[in-house]
Amino acid sequence: MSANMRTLDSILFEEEYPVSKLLRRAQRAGRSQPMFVSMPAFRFHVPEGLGHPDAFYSRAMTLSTHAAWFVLAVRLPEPEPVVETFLLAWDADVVGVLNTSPGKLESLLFVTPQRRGRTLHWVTKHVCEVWEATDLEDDSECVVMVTEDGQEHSGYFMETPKRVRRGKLIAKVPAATRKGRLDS
Amino acid sequence: MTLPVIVTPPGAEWPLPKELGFPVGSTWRLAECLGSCFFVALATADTFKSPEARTLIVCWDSDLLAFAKSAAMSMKLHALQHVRTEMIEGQPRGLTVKQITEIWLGVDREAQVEVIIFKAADGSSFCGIDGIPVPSSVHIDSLAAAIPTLATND
Repeated sequence: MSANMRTLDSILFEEEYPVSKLLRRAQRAGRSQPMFVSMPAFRFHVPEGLGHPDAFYSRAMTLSTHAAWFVLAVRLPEPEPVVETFLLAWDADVVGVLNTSPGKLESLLFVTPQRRGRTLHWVTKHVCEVWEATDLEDDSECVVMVTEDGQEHSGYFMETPKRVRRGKLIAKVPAATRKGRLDS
Repeated sequence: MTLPVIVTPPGAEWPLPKELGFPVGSTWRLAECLGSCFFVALATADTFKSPEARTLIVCWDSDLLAFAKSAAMSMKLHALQHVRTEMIEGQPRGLTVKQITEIWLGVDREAQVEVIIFKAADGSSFCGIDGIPVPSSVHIDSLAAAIPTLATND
């Protein structure tokens, strides 16, 4: 473990991946979508044959932007109670997983940045409904997530949209999994 | 017991133009957490080129502690959240988010091992990569890090 710690420490010390520089370039190129970034030093070595040969296993990841991202838990249709937890960078992918997964939605969070003065921090909200919607400001398709307080959230930072029209209900979090899970 | 790692499936890669400087196979739009919990840390460090806080998704408590204690990095944790699959009567039930306010070091006197204890804003404490309640055999020793309580969840 200590050797791994030194490796992780050194990779952050050496700053091999200048994320903020990448973001500035990406923004200039019109590509500022959030993404997860893996690093070689974070790699978790899975013995050959045990893991998928083309998958990358890691102990940690970073985020490229301070846009909203999502944590999705899906219960798989197996005899044993297995819940898979996904980290997703785009709301469109949340919809994609919900539309195609054979499992049932167990829980969905969005994590979005908020700045108070000079300090940046994350706000995490539990989502209870996901809708396909139309942003009436520019007549574009969007994803609307409704939190338990009934508030609608949409867009890059999951802000409250000004004018949206809900379309198809994509998914609803079961009430049973929304009980007793909040700590503040 | 689950494996505390993040796996990025082959189809989830987000390929970027070469000029952006990221190696092929390092940027992803989807990942899967195989463990039962993970940490979301917002931190600055002397070794980061940008003064802006960076977000780290960390599976291992020991890695988080190593970052926080590293003299070279002088990492400052601005916010720390712990996301866990809630277990009710042995069944996984939804996700719980806890805001961490303190990290403590301790020793399990029965197992004779060092333990990292996390204290949450709601007053609860847990330890280990699965976020279990702190066993009575653990003697809490010293404060390793204190984190502001700006991060919120509802």
